[in-house]
Amino acid sequence: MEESVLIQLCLKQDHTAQEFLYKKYAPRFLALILRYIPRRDDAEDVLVESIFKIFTKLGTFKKEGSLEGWMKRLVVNDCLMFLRKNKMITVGIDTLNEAKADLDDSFIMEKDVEALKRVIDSLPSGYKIIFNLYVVEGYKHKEIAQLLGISVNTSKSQLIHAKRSIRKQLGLTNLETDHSKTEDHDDE
Amino acid sequence: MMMNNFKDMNNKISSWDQVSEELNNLEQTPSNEVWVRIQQKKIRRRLIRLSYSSIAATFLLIVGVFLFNQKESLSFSGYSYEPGIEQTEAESFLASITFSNTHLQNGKVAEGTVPKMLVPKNP
Repeated sequence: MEESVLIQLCLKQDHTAQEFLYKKYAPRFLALILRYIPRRDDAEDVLVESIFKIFTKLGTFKKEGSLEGWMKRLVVNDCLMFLRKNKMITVGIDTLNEAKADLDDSFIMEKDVEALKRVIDSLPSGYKIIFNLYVVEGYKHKEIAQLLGISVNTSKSQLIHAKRSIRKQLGLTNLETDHSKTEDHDDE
Repeated sequence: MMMNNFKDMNNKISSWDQVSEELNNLEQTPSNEVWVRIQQKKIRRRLIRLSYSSIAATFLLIVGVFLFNQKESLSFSGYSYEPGIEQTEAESFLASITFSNTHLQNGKVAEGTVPKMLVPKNP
């Protein structure tokens, strides 16, 4: 089904179209939510809220980006709202210079996504949230800083710590030749 | 040899972009309960809207009936009546009467409300 038709039908509260949208995106959204909220029951609660919000706010989607991108942002916002409400966000403050001191951003690892996921889940909440927002969801440091009420430098340093922690826990090998490609782009 | 290396690289992750891609491709099937809960939420919202609409309609109806039944209050040269308290005679009735900067025949100025007073129909 074409996206614009799907949106129109969902706006008309067409049950079949809404179910189609749900079946297409809900599994991806649940995986996304579980990256922030590890308890499945809580994650499903947030999914219910998010999907319901998507159905009610679909009229505000301006077609400037992709529908999936717009929906993902809504889901991420709901995740952060849940974490904030339950006081599950703790972002430490550390200096950027300290964090940058021994950063080597290159690595090579086996494609074991489950292991990677487990390591990310085990990160302290601040590292995990910032890593997910920046690396996985593609938010800029400036946006993360605004969303979490922290400074841009804190966001950057937490990301460096998160990456370092992941590399350490996975025992990753350095990949010197690929260094430039994987360097953290310093956008804000 | 080259082919083997290529295959090896396919099983490796060597950048954060690849990490992102792999994690974004993950899916978790929600329990059936989730869709049911979304439907229940939709129904609840509709019911709430419906009850708000009925409350608003009832309120408008009450206001309408009140305005329709309200008797016109009389006012002339400083008098204003709230008629219909108790009609006693054909030519006069009991009413509360409010004086506001009313110049009486004796030259005094009357102010205030008298709760019950016999008022002629044609003063």
